[in-house]
Amino acid sequence: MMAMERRIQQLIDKHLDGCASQAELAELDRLLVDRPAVADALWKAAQVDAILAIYWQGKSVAADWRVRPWPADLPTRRTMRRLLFAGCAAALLVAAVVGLLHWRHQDAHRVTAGIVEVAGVPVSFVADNRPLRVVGDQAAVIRLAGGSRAELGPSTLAVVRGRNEAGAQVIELLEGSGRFFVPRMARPLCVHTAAGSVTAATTDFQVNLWPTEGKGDEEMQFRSILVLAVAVFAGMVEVSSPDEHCVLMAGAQAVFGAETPTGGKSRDLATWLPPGDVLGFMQKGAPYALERVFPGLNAAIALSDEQKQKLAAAIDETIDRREVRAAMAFGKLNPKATEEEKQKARRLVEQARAELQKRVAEILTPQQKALIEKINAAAGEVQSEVRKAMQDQFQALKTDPTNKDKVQQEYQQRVRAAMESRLMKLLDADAQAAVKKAAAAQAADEKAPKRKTKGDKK
Amino acid sequence: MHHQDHFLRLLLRHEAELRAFIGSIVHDPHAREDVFQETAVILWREFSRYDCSKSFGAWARGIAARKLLEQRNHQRRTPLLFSPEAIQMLAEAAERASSEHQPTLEALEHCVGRLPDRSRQLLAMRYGQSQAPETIAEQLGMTIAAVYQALWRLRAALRQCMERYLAGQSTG
Repeated sequence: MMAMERRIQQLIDKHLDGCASQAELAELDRLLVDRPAVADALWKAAQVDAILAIYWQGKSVAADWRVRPWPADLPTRRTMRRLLFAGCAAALLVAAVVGLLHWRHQDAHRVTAGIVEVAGVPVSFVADNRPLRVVGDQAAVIRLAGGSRAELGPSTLAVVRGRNEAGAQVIELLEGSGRFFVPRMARPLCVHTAAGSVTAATTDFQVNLWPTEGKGDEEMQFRSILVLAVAVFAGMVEVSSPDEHCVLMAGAQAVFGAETPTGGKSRDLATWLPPGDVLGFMQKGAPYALERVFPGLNAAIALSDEQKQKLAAAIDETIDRREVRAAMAFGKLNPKATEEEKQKARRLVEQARAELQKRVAEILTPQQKALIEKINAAAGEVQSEVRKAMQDQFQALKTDPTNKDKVQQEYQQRVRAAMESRLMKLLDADAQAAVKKAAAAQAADEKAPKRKTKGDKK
Repeated sequence: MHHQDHFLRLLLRHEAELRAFIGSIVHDPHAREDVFQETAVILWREFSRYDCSKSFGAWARGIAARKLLEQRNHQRRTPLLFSPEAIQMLAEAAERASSEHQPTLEALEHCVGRLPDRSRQLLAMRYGQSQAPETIAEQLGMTIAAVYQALWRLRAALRQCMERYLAGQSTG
C-alpha cells in the first residue's frame, strides 16, 4: 500500500516537474480516472506548485490580501489599499486587453529575460519581421507567440517571422546562437539561417551560426565559411541545408556549411581558387587567407585545372569531412565537455589539417611552392614597412581612436600599393594579369550579399 | 459594485486555484501561462453569463478545462497530457477540495521562512527564475536527480507545513 502511495506521489511530482515519460503519464492518466484519491493528491500538489510560483514570481498582489487586512483606523493605509486595488485592477484590465490583442493577432513575442533592442531601442515585446539584437553580456529569453521559448545568445541578430505554410512559427537567425525549447502543445518551430533551416516540434535544441574566420577562434582560423551547428537535447529536429536534408535525434549534433566549397562537381574550376591558407600563404607564421589582404593573390601561382581538381578533392576528403567539421565546432557546442573530449576533437582537426597540408605539398610544383614563400616574405615586409611608416598615426589612435577607420583604410591602401609594386618584380606578365582578374572577381563576389564573413561583421 | 470590479475581485481571489488547475494538467510553465491568459480573456468576455449563485472557481475551471480540451482537439501533433476523463476527475477533485483549507501566501511565507537558505535558494531558482533542474544542478553543484529529489521533498514538507499552519489558524 505504502509502495503504491509512494509511486503515485512520484508520478505526480514527475509530472509537475515535466520529467514524466509518456509511459508514466499514461499510468498517471489511468490512475486519475480509476482512483479519485489520485486526482485529490494531484490537485493538492498542483496547488502548492501554483502558489510557490505566485509567491516567487510576485504574480499575485491581491490573492491573499484578505488574510492580512489593513487596519481600519488608518485612513492613509486605506487609501493606499484602494490605490493598490485600483492599480491592480487597472493593470489587470490592461493585461486583459493586451492578452486579447495577443490572442487575436498572435504576432507579439514577449522578452522575459535579458535585453533585446529593435532599431536600437530596448523592447519588452517584439513584433514580427522586426530585426532584433541581443545586447549586453547576458542571453535574452523570448517567449514566442506560438508557445516556444527562444534563448538567444549575446549579440545575436534575429528576426521573428510569422507562421510558414505548414503553420510553424518561424524565427530567422542572422548571426549568433540560440537555444530553442518547443513544449508540448506549442506550435512547431522553424529556425531559418543562411546555412539551412531547422524545424522541430516538442523538442529542445541549440543552433549556432557563425563565420569561421576570426581572432580568438583558433579552431576555425584555417577556413572561412559560414557554419550552422545544431545540437539536439530532447526530441528530434529536421535540418534542411543546401547540401542535405536530415533528421537529428536527441543527443545528436551536426555541422552544416553555408558555402562550403565541397563537392568538386559544383565548382567551376575555371574561376575557382583554393583559399590562400590551404595553399600555404601565411601571415605572422600562421596559415592565412592572404587574398583577403591582397585580393587575387592566390591566382599568382597559376594552378592548372588538374591541380585545382586535386586540391578540391583534398579539401573535401580532409577538413571538409562531416566529422572534422563537427570536431571544429565541438568546443562551441559543448562548453561543458571534458578536456579529454576537447583534445580528442582538436586532434581530429589537426590530423585533417596535417593530411591536407601533405596532399597540397604533393600537388604543388617546387616552383609554385617557392613562389608562395617569396610572396609570404614580401607580404610580411610590406606590412612591416607600411606599419613603421605610419607608426605615429597608429600611436595617436591609442589616445584618440576616432580616426581608426580612416587610418586603417590608409594602411590597407598603402599596403596594397606597395605589394603591387613588389608583385611586378616577382611575377611574370601572365601571372600579374591572373592576379588582377582574380582580384576583380573577388571584389564582385564580396559585393554580392550572399554570405557574411568576418570582414562584414562590424 | 461595477461589473469589472466584481470580475477582478473574483479573478484575483481564484487566481491561485485556477493556475493550480491548469498546472495540474499542463506542466510547461509557458504553456500554462498561455492557457491562463486565454482563459482569463474568455472569463471576462463571458462574465455576463456567470451565475453569481454558483462558485466562480468551478465556473473558471470549467472554462479552462474546455480551453484545454479544445487545444487537445486542435493540436494533434502535440497532444495534451491527459484524457478528457482524467481532466474531469481533476475538476471534481478541485471542487471537493473547495470546502477545505486553501493554501495561502501567508501560510507559504510562514513555512518558507522556516526553510534553510539553500532550500529557499533552490525554490527561488525553480519557481522565481523558472530555471530547469539541469541548470539548477549545474549552478548548485548537485546532480539532476538530487535536484528533483530535493524539490519533491521540499514540496511535500511545505504542503504538510501549510496544512498544519492553516489548521492552527482556524482552531486558534
